[in-house]
Amino acid sequence: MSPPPGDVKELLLRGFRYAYSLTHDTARAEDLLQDGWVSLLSAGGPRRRCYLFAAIRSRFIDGCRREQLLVFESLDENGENHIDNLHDPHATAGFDCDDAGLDQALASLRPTEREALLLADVEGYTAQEIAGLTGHPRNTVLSLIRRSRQKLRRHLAPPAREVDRA
Amino acid sequence: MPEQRLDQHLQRFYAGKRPSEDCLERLAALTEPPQTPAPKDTAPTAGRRPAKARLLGIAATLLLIILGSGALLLQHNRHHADLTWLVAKEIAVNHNKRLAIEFPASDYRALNRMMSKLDFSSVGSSRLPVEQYQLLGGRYCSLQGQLALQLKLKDRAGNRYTLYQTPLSKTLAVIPEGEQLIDGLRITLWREGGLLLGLAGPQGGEKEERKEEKDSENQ
Repeated sequence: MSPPPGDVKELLLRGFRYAYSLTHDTARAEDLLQDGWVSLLSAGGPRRRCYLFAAIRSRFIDGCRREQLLVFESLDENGENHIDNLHDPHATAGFDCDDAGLDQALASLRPTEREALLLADVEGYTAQEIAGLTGHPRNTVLSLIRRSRQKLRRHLAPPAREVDRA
Repeated sequence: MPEQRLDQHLQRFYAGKRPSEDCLERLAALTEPPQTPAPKDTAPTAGRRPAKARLLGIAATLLLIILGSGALLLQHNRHHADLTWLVAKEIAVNHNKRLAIEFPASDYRALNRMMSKLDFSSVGSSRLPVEQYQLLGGRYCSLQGQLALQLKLKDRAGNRYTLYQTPLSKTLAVIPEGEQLIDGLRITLWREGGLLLGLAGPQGGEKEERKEEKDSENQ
């Protein structure tokens, strides 16, 4: 049985936000949503958030491979990107910013980092659920979320604080 | 609590992100089922007479088996019809986006050289003779999630067409050749040279073209 039209639109809106977290571009997010949605419908898959997200993710990775873009770097647990190797001078600092500032800060993150933040902080996914969607180990997902939040905080923190600390 | 504030910032930020209303409507419309004849509702079972209950039960079981087989057959056919409709609808949606040409070219050989990411070669279709349909260029796109080529063509009457070409995968191989009228467009699907081809254009375009041909023949 098909969900009511209102539910379909709500699902599409969530799909769009997820696609936007990956592309950080409205036009590309719309294209990605269309590809994922058509793929889900043609496969006869359930019209549910997790299935739509998986379809969108798959199309995004296909597109990146086609464009030969290296956007999904390895989430190494001990390399230079590991959480323990990232110093966060503003871990306890507060910040205030508008949407434009946040947009700019998010643009500086990798797609996989924006994706983790959206899933965890906006969609309310658990680390285990994100691990299921992305195929990464749960601990790696936890590190990724923490690291992404720290990176975002660093971008959002006012530059004056860095001078003060220095 | 900065962590909570970050969550709230992100939630507010993403809540403001929406696709265009046009895009939302188009995609929501994809869930509308194609107009295929629905199986008639049968098998009312109320009001059985006690004396004939057993016979009626057997008859009903037989009827259910027949209807079940019919429904399965119908569902199988409907899957193909759904896929055909989805492909045609996707072509119509892409056509109506009116995206700009990325690779301007007037012949297929030049276009194949420019579009190096394609894992197939575009073909000049025998149904679209070059003297009648002028190639303007192409761009990458996707059909059912697989890499496809979108070509822009112009006929002698000035009608604009988009032609889609993609390899005939196992999924797409079940799509029958034919025409559909969607969103005011005539979508024609056919197979050629191992590819699935889909042409989107005005509903009256071909007729106008044929009329033009007849006129020129008479002259």
